[in-house]
Amino acid sequence: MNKKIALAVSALAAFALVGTSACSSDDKDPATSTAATTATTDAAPALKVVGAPFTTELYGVGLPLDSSLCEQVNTAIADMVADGTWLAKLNGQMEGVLYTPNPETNPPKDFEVCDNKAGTFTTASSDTIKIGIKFDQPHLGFKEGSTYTGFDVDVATYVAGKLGFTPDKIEWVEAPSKSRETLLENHQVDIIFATYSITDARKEKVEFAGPYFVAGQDLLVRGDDDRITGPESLNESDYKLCSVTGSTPAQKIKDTYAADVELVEVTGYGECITALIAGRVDAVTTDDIILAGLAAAGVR
Amino acid sequence: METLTQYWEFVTQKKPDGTLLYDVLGAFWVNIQLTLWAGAVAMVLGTIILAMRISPIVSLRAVATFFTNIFRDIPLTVVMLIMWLVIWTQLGVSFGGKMSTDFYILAIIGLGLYHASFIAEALRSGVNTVPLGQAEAARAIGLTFMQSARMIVLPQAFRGAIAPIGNTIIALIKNTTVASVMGVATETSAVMSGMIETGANFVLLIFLTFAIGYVLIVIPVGMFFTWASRILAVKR
Repeated sequence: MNKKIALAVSALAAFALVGTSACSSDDKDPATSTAATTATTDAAPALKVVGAPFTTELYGVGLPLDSSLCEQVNTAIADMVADGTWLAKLNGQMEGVLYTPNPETNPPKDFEVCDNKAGTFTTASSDTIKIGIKFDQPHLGFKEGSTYTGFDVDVATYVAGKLGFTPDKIEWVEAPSKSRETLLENHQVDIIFATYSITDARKEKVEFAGPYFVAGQDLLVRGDDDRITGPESLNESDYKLCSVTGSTPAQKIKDTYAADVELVEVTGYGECITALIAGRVDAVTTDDIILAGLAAAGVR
Repeated sequence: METLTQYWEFVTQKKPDGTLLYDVLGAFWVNIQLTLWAGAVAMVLGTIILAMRISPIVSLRAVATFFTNIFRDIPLTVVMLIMWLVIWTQLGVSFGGKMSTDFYILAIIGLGLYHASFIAEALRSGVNTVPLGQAEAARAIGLTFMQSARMIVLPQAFRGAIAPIGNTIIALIKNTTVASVMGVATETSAVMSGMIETGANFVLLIFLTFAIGYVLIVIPVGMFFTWASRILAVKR
């Protein structure tokens, strides 16, 4: 019993770690970063992304409807892919994780057609740019103290550079899923890079440039688990699946793929990862790059 | 007007099996049920805590004070997160049956514990409205502590505490949305997240729907407690 309580206390610490241990890796030299990898994999079981993604989600760059930046953003993303920065940044973020983005769709080649040619709005302030990102997704958009890291942040920094804003002129703003449209409509942010899938419903409220990444829904399982290989194998036993409340993946898996699977919905991926490591759920589902980022956070 | 028609179609769209995709009314019903259950837990626990708080035994008073201060001072989200991370995830507590039942029960326990501390404090303010002479008179005619608490002090205390209890209950109604942290995915805030995810073009209407829903629930409750506190107050 004592052991269990000790475990429970350490659970809270582990939960904090899923977040905090995630992001300082870029600054480390290769030698120390390898050492850190071996040390932590011994302590906690590694996580792996399984199978090929089974949906397609185009991660777009959200802009206000009256923005004039759409074409410039598309050009900047094309430049980033062409000069190799895109791939280098992605590999840097996902280092040490068994994960390859879908090679047929990545890096993205077909960009959104910028409908609004008459847009006049650039940024609310002329010398700084307010960029909306997620603060809680390791290796995508992540806040640690006063530094911001992740692939979304890397792409945003590059694009902002092409728009004429050096990194010290960027103001990072948290853009949670629920308020992304409102933030753009009210010009509280100038541009959003926050795992923002392009959909028709959203296009009525915001303009999309990009995509800068083509993600797809996938599954994250414990490293030593060979039973689950794809969404169909979830029906083979009474597996438990975790996702974030109200997210598209949670809705999709219930409706389309594994109808019999028991779905656990919580408010954050950190909660899902803790339950996965503790063995209370068997898989976590969302877009592959988010899962890879979570797995990378566990590895380092 | 056209937007409203489109929004109505969005809200009432059905799944292939014929049930509603976004069961808004059902979601509110889940929150009302959570309120009733958690309110019952909080009332019972809060009364016990109060009885301990005013008891002549020092250790009981200490325990009650400790409980009140701990649960009143931890944010509700953290209480629910502890229920999820520690109680469900790590200790593996399960009540048998489906997982959603576990989450429901744990959410009720978390909400109940948190609001019990507020109910206890509301009742304590009620006790303070009972003149000291009442307790002294009860003791003078030979009633024990339990007898005087049950027959003299608490009945008057409840009647004096109706307004603060009402405030706590209203807070509880709205706080039940935090149950989504404990995995209750059918309550309003979870359903609202799902609706915004796919219906971003209706984002303001969606917020408005749920805001109006809560106003419609809370106004009658507030009116009831105001009325009850006036009718039932002990005239002194």
